[in-house]
Amino acid sequence: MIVEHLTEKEIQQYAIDRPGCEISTVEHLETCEYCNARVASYQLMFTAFSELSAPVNEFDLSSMVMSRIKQKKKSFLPDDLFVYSLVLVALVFTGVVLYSFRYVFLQLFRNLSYTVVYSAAATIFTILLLQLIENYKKYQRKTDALDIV
Amino acid sequence: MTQHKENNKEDQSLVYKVLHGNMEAFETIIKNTERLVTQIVFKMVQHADDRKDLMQDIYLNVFQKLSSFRFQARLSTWIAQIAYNACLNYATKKKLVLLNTWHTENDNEDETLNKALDKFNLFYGETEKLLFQKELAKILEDEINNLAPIHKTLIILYHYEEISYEEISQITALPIGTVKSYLFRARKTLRDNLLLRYKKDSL
Repeated sequence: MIVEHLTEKEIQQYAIDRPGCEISTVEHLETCEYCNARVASYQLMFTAFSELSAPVNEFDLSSMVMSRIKQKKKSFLPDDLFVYSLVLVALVFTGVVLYSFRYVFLQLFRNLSYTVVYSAAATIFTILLLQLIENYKKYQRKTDALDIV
Repeated sequence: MTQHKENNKEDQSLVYKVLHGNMEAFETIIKNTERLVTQIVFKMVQHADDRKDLMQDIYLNVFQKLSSFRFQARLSTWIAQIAYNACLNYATKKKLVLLNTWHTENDNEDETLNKALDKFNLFYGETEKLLFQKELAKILEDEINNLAPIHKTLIILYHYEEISYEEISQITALPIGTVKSYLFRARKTLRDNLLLRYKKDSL
C-alpha cells in the first residue's frame, strides 16, 4: 500500500476511471480520508458538468447556411457560363488559326531535324508531367489535412 | 464497433445524397452536428457576431469540401475538425491568445486548498452536496469561461460531449499525450478555482 498521499494525476485517474487504477492506489484510498476528499472534489465537479446547459444559437443556422448555398449557386452560374464560353471561343479561335495556317506550321517543323522536334516534345511533356504530379501531391496533402485517419 | 459501422453507413448515405443534389440531406448533416460545432465555436470565439459568421462559413466550407471526405473518420469528427481549424484561423487573424501559461502552485495556495478540502469533507453530507451541485454548475460555467480557449474546448469536449481522447486528438490535431496533459491541467485549475471560490463564499 502507498503510504504517502496520492499524486494529483492518480487522484484524477481514480475519479475518472476507477477500474483502470493500480491496486495500490485503490488500497490507499480505502484508508486515506484526505485523498478521498480530493477524489470527491473531482467527482463532484464531474457530476456538475451534467448540469451545464449546452450553448444555443440565437439564429436558425441551417436555414441561413442553406440560403447562402443557394445564393452562391445562383451567383456562380453566370460566372461559370462566362468562363465556359470564353474557353469555347478560345478553342474555336485556336482551331481556326491552326487550320488556316496549317501549311505554314508544317513548313516550320519540316525544316527542323527530328532530334530537335523530339527533344522539344519530350521537354514539354516532362514539364507537364512534373506539373501534374506536383498538383496531385498538393491535392493529396490538402485532402489528408481534412480527412483524418 | 457495430455502432461505428452504423454511423459510417448513415454518414455515407447522407454524403452520397448531398453530392447528388439532395439539399435536405445537408440540412440533416447541419442539424446532426450543430451542437458539437456550436460548443467548439462558443468556447473558442467570444464575439457573438463573429460566431454567427464563422458558423455559417464552417458549413459552407463543409459543403464545398464534402466530395473530398473519405470516411476515414466519423463525419461529425471531420466537421468538428473543420470547425476547430476555422476557429484557430480566426484567432490567428485576430491575434488572440489560445493558451495561457499555467501559474505555478505555491505553498500558501496549497494550504488554502487543503483547508477548503477539509471543510468540504467535514461539513457537507450527500444531500448538501446534491443541493450544492446546482449552484456548483453555475460557478463551474464561470470558471470554465475563465480558462484559455483551447483548454475550455478540450474540457467541454471530454466532460460534457463525452468525446474520447482519440477523437479529441483527431479534431484538434494535437497528440493524445498533449490532449491528456492539457486536460489534466485544466481539470486541476478548475477544481482548485472551485475550491477557492467555495472557501471564499463559505467564510
